[in-house]
Amino acid sequence: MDQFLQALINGVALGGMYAILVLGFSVIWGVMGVINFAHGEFVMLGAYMAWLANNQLGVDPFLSAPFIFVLMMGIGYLLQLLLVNRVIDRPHLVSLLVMFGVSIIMANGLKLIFSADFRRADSSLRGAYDLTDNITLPVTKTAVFFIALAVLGGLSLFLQSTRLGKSIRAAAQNREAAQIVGININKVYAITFALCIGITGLAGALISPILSIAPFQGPPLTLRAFAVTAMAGLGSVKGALGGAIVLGLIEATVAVYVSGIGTNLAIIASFVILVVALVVRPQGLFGGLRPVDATAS
Amino acid sequence: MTVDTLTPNAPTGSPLLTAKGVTKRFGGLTAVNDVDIHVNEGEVIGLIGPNGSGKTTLFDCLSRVQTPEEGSVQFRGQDITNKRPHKVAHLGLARTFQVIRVYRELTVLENLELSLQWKNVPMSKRMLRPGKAVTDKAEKLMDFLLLTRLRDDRAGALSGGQRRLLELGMSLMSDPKLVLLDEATSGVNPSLVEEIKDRIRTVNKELGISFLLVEHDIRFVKDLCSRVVVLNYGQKLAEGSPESIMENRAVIEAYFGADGDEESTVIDDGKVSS
Repeated sequence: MDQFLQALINGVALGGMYAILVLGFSVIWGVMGVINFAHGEFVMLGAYMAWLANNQLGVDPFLSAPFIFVLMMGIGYLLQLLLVNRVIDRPHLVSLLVMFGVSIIMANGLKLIFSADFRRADSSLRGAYDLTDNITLPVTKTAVFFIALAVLGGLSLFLQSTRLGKSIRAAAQNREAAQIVGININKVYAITFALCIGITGLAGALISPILSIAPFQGPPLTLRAFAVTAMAGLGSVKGALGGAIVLGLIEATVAVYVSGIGTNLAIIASFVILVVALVVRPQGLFGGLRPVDATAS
Repeated sequence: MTVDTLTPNAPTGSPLLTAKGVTKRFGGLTAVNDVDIHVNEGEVIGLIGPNGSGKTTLFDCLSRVQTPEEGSVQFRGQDITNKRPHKVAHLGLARTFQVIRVYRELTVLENLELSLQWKNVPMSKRMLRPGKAVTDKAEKLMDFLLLTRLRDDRAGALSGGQRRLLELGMSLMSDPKLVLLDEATSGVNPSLVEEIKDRIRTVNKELGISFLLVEHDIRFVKDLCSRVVVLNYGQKLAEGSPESIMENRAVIEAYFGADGDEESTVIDDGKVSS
């Protein structure tokens, strides 16, 4: 029983972390139809920024995270303006390949600057809190979980209530019609991209004390983002949370109950979900801004 | 019923939209071929033609959803041939779509409020909820278009006719000078067709908003339009009063083929029939 409760706690905490890790990927895909293959590299970039601030200036990643959010928003805005806007009207494969190229450039760029060594930032929020004799609460992941809830809630409120948020939802549902009612679609896309890259960088900063930071650690994160997004529905904020928690629970349960190969099996399990979700329920378990297969309408 | 929150246009009869030599090709197919069309202030013009004659493509070129390969489009004295669609919308050209494009996930009220979001709204205000003036205007339009009781329903849950009304409302929210209506009555039950007709007539008479209608319901065109333009195979076949168009031999042949029997082929005051 203790083991089960521990798996449950680990799973939910892990899920919160995955939720904020995949949110940006899901919304960019849902709103703009762009599959951001460089997602994991943006996470790493944010993590490196937090590590640098931690290593050089002694700043806790939880404190540098808001600044990294703003900085990454700027990077996202520029990238959208200079690159993504130019390919967004072409078939999806083009933007996918462009972002794939960006991911390789970023990973190798990070390697040049930071070398291939594994890094980890230090946070004062660490260790485990003993709930009972046998059950512990992972402190860093729990903190990330609550920050993730706040970011998801904030984004949800923004999309539901503000003029800009509604314009973003409109653009996601129908690009042409949004322009006809006077919405500047390029601006909506630039803001969406900036916001999502900002959130992704923030997530990178938050996980910098938890996961290993290395130039080529991006792709597994991008692939998890695929799994959660497919399960959750494109651009769905509550879906990202739900999907991420399902994934976290599965990974934690498998890791706890299957000794030895548990971690590898957990990754297999998450991709079994991806395949099953795409075959059985392509619109996602939780609905979204649009179904996975919708391109224009 | 009030429409007093909308800003009336002065019906002067001066040119509002002038398109010259518009040509649009898709691969080897010339969907619109060298078409001239104009709409004056305060006019309601019909655009008819058999299926595939290029009506919707012409609409796309006029509203800049598509870029014409040749020709020019002037709207309110400005060349809009290379303007981006949202800029054209800000100038006062609104349109609806043949396949209804309301935002299914948004409520009726939210759909209406969208239309004014980007027109002269500073970024700081976009971070807020829509202001009272916008909501008031949306409420007035809902009242005018019989949508008030559906205010908080998701647009995806509305009937076809209600969605057509909502689309009309969305196009009117931005104080347009000209509305392009693409098959406003298709899939709409007959009693609602009368309501739509009545609403178009009202905003045209009281506010001077001009309309260009693509329509298959000939009675609808005859009741509303002062002038009708006929397209066939992407080219302009005829232009004139509704009465003259319905007696036009070339138009009848376009609809029924060259060997249509003159005796039995009529366009009566209802649908086209033979």
